[in-house]
Amino acid sequence: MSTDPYKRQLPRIGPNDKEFYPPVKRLWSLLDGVFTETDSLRRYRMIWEIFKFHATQGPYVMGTIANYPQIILVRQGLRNVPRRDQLPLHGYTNPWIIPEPATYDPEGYYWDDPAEHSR
Amino acid sequence: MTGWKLREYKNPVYSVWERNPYYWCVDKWGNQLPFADRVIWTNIQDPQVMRVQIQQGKADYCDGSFIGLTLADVAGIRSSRSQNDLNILYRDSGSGTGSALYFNLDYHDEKYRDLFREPRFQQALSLAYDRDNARKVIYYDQGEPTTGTLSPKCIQFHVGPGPRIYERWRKSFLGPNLERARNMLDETGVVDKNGDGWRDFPDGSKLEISIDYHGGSQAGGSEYVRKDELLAKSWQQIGIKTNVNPIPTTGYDDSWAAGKIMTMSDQEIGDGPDYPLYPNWLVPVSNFEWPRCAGNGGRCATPTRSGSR
Repeated sequence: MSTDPYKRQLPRIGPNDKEFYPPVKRLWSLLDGVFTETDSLRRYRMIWEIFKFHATQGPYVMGTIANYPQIILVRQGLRNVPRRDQLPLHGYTNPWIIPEPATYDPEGYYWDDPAEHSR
Repeated sequence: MTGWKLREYKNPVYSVWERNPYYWCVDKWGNQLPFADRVIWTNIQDPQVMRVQIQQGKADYCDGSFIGLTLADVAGIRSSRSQNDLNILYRDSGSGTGSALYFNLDYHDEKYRDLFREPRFQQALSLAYDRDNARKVIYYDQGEPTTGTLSPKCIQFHVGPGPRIYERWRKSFLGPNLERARNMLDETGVVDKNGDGWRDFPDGSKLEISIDYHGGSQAGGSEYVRKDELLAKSWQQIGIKTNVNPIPTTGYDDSWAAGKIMTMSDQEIGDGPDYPLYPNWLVPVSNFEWPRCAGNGGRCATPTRSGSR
């Protein structure tokens, strides 16, 4: 508790520590480029480099099954809920950075018989 | 700005949302949106109670990915169709991994840490994993087996050489290929030193992998735990002693970030849709995906010619 609060930090490993994991340096360097490159093709090339790095040095995250289907339950009579074949990407339910179902325009959903659902 | 505004909130039971008459959108015929005057969000703590209520018809709309309903629930909902009046729609998850596992590359024990950072070790474990069985048992023969990538919906997989890069990455260490996995482990020196049937560290000390996950009422029987059990079985087949280990949720993430937990096994990569939007899975910028490598509370300084900044 004698440490200045501004200098307190959780355990961490920095680039000058002996425990530092060298591939991190390469990944950071590529990401720095991605964030600062304004030419989209050059940016994409750096992103593909990151992908290739994972494909050869990984797997850093071990997966099981990609792009399995998710289910949506919709009561009979609720209209305008898009079906899979009406969506350009056939749906995309799992990313946390895109709120679900906001991207499927729930503002446009309606009941075919509103009186039945008023209370 | 949003279509509905919060009218009533009772934590943790429900929230009521009321139509915003000044919402800025109209449909293509000029009708003011949103159409629904009121939306009620109901929160149900116990997943089994939630399933029963859905089957009894107490919900008008459910988002499976958000509330933990999976393909395993389809039969139950369909069989009670007369009660619940629910149609089942299917949408692509866009998941890059399905249920995934990753090692703590900053694990506090140096021997384990060095092993987890050895690419051939993780590659061997990936090759040993019987994903075909997992696809059948957990995912009802849907989706495609993957080593583990960013979301296949990611735009960088759909332009230029992107599709080829995706396929190469997806298939990079896809098994099951037990013979190749065993050979790779032999190359790393992880062999059975004492003849007990389990592989040991190169120095002869005991090696035991713990597949850890957040314990709690929602964990049992989930796709994550079922996958963990299949993973353990696959790894045991190549001589890696493996246990599946629930850890109390409280303090889990701090222990993970401090390098005290060996694996994270109840996560999944669903992110795209444009890689720089969420770089965390592939580059250490957050200690949830990468523990201390990322520096807790933010990225560590990158070395420069004059040292670090």
